[in-house]
Amino acid sequence: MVLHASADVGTGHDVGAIYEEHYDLLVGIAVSRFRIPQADAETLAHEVFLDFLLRAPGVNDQRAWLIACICNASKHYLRTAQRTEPLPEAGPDPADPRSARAVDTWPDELAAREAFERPTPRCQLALRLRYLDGHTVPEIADILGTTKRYATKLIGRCLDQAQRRYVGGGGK
Amino acid sequence: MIGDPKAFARLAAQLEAERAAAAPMIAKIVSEPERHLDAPMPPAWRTLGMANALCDAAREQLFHSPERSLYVAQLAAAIAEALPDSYPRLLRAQAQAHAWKAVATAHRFQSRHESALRALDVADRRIANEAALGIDRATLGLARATTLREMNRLAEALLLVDEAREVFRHHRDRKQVAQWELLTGMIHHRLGDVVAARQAYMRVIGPARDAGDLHTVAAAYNNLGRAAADAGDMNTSVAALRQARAIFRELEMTTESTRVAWSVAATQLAAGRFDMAIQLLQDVRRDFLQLGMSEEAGLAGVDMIEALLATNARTAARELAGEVVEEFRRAALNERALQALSFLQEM
Repeated sequence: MVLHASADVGTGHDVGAIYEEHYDLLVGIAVSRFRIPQADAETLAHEVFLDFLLRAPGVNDQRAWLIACICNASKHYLRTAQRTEPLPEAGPDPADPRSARAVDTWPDELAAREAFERPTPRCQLALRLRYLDGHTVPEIADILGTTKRYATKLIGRCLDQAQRRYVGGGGK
Repeated sequence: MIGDPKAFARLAAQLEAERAAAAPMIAKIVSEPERHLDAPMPPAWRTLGMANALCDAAREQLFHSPERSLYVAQLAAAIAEALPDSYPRLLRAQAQAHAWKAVATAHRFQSRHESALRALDVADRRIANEAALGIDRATLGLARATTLREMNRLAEALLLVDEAREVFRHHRDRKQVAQWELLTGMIHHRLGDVVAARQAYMRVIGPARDAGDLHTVAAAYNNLGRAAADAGDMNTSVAALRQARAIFRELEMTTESTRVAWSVAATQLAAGRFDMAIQLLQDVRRDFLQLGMSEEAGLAGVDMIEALLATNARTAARELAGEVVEEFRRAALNERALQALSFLQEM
């Protein structure tokens, strides 16, 4: 990736000025062409500019790039929206069943995330892949480019390391 | 949420400062990346600038040492995954996807195709819900198609490149369009359609040069040289390979220079200059093995066996075939190469 993020993106334009110049256009496209609600269209436009921030030096035609990006983003938004069921107009408003145990699971998940930030980079990757992404040991061995036996040992060792550093509060 | 032009410009300035702060550390990290994977991560490294700079470094290392590239990419992935929540969610997800793509590419360069696909799965998941990152999804699609082509899963590869093409064209991204053309040519080439492949390679050169992407220009010349040789057009082949070699040397890309040397040797083989081909292939095979590119080394070995058989050096051919089959088996490399060698071993 090319990251030459700069207040001046190398094309003689300040990114703030590019933002001001195109923001309304992008929101307008999302709202009028794709019928996306105003608030969500604004969020999409912000996100398009964030992506632009990193890519600006490689972009030949800023306006075309931004328009293509908001169109793609709008299509993706609509595809995602089609997969969600609207709430019934009347009647009960049931809670998301996934959140039923949220009070119990969130502290554990937060603690796990914090603990996983303490060990070495290799251990961080192994633990995230195993416990946050749910990969199997053979898959982790594949991703890290090592053997299954070594991956098993690594995960065990990394769990110990994370626990020691989390309890001891060190390593960060 | 970055909600106004000033906040947006501040973030741009912050990212530039992070990038500048990362630069002096990169050379030191790249000199021994494996050690840094097993040492505590300094808090100052948890920046987007550092993650992105390491992704760039991983890409550069691909052409010198794919193994080192993998370690650098893993370090980038660890940093990207640990970025603080103060960064916009989209930028964190994007950095993670780029780092996992770098991991995938390093695996692919070492012929670990299943590992590459798994790393790309992780990258895909990181940006699956980010509506604005369509071009990143297309880029990941292109990386997956490249891997699938190497695995000879050509129909799947073609489907993916077609999907990516529209996104790149809409964005008027000349560099990515050129890379898309290159990959399309390579798939046609593998399918045996040399005419379509040559046309695609020719279409790469102008746009890639305009976009300043000399690596892609050189890759197109290299592939054009091979396709021309396959079509029996030796003059075009030699001229194209000379161009490729000159550019890769200028760019100091060792792995790619070796690929061109392999193409030159293949051209000699196709022209029936077997002694010259054998001499060149020996060097190519040695260089690939030193670079840890086992599959390429094995396939160059297959070419060499063909040349040895053509000169009636059957004993040497049989010995080399055994050696190469064993190398492939040890590295658990693809069926295509094993089949080719088994066939040759029967001779």
